[in-house]
Amino acid sequence: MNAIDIRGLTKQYKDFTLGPMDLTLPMGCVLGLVGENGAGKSTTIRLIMNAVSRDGGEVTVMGLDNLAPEFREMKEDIGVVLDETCVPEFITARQLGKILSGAYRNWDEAAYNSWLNRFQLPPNKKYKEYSRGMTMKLGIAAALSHGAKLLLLDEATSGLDPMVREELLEVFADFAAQDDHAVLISSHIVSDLEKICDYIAFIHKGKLMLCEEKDMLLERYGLLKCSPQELAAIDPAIIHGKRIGEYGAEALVDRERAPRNLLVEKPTLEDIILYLAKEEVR
Amino acid sequence: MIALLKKDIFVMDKQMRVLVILALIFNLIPNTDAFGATYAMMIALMLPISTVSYDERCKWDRYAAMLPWSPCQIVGSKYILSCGAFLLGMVLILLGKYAQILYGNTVDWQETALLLALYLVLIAVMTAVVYPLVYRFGSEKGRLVMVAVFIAIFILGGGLMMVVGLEQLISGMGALPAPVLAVIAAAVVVAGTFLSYRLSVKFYLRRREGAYA
Repeated sequence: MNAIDIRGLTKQYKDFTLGPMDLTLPMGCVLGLVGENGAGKSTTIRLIMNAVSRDGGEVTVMGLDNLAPEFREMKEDIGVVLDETCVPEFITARQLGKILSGAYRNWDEAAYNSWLNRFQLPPNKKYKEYSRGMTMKLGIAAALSHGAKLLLLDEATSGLDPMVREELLEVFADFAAQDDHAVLISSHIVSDLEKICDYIAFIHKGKLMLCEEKDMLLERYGLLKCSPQELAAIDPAIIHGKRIGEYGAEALVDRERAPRNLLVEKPTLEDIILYLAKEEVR
Repeated sequence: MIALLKKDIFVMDKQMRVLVILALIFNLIPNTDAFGATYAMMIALMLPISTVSYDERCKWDRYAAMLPWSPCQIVGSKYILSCGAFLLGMVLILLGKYAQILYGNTVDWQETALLLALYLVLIAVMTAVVYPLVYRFGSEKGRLVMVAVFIAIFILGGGLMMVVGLEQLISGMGALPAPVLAVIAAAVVVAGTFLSYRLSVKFYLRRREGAYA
């Protein structure tokens, strides 16, 4: 069973259109949703949770259409962390636990306290006194304390220092290591996604540019470095993005079809995303 | 739903304690019970509505939409909170009346009951008007409209009192059989609250969709 199945999903706003989008997240995997600010990552997550209504397409979460009345119960199995934790500033971590224990039937107070302890979050400190890293950790502690099988993380690592990001990525990777768990994480920090994701979906201006296995993606593309003249001689069909400078040219190409006599390096995920995001995308 | 009420109580906690203590003091001081009663009712009206602005400020609704709560529960909890706040205000007023007896003053319980019924209708009508406005226009603009409603009611009420006279108004209402009066009041409160709730849910959903952004 897939954790998430999206087919032909569309959402229209006055000045923004998302989709049509097809996306699949198998159980036991981590899918990274990457894209620039305003690309539609948060909207996608809100559409998955039916927090906004879709205009077209289908969204199935763990086998259930998210428009079904039973989906509200299924939310018990989904942990969500938003880019802002959205907790009232006067509330303490302990009080948040009391609130959420009334929201989730499977709320595990012991697990919550253990996460607070692990993240070194003072339970009686007001939310407004928490640092950015602490607020994100609090959101994650809450999302992991009700037996969720699916984690939806919206920019959960953005604005955090590398140490905290590393710590949280480990938590997400551990969570996803179980076969009946899955994680969808949106971020514009591609290096984070490269570390833990099995699949990468790239959204650009509301359109899904690609959704592929990360390893396949890294295998398929190559970073060609050559002179502008050499680049001009290459079949344009294999070039997916290029940058021509005064002293040389660089292009994202199909690795298999690239000329053997030229230098083709292994690109990072960030290279691939950046080249594809440019308007030169074919 | 209880979790949502808990959240609002945690949010209001300190502010609520101070205001309730003040209301209690105003109701217990000899000869200030009339002011104390009005003050208690103002708090009963304002405090629950202020929780909507707290929600707006921290974008709570974005988070709430991700949890297993329906829009009806999210909006409905505010109405229940208002109901609870009214009951609390009523308790404070009654404590004030008992205090008057302890001070050796006499209390007209029939008039008190009528006054509470009037407050109930007034607060219910104002709440019913304000919540849809707050969900439609946001808490800031909604508050401005609420002030306008206050002024309108004050002018209309004042005008009515001047024309008819407060004594005659109360005695006129008192002349109606109590059950009839109660049924009219209950009908106004129930119908107004129900319509208001439906409208608030509709506006809440549209706001969630970004229709008023």
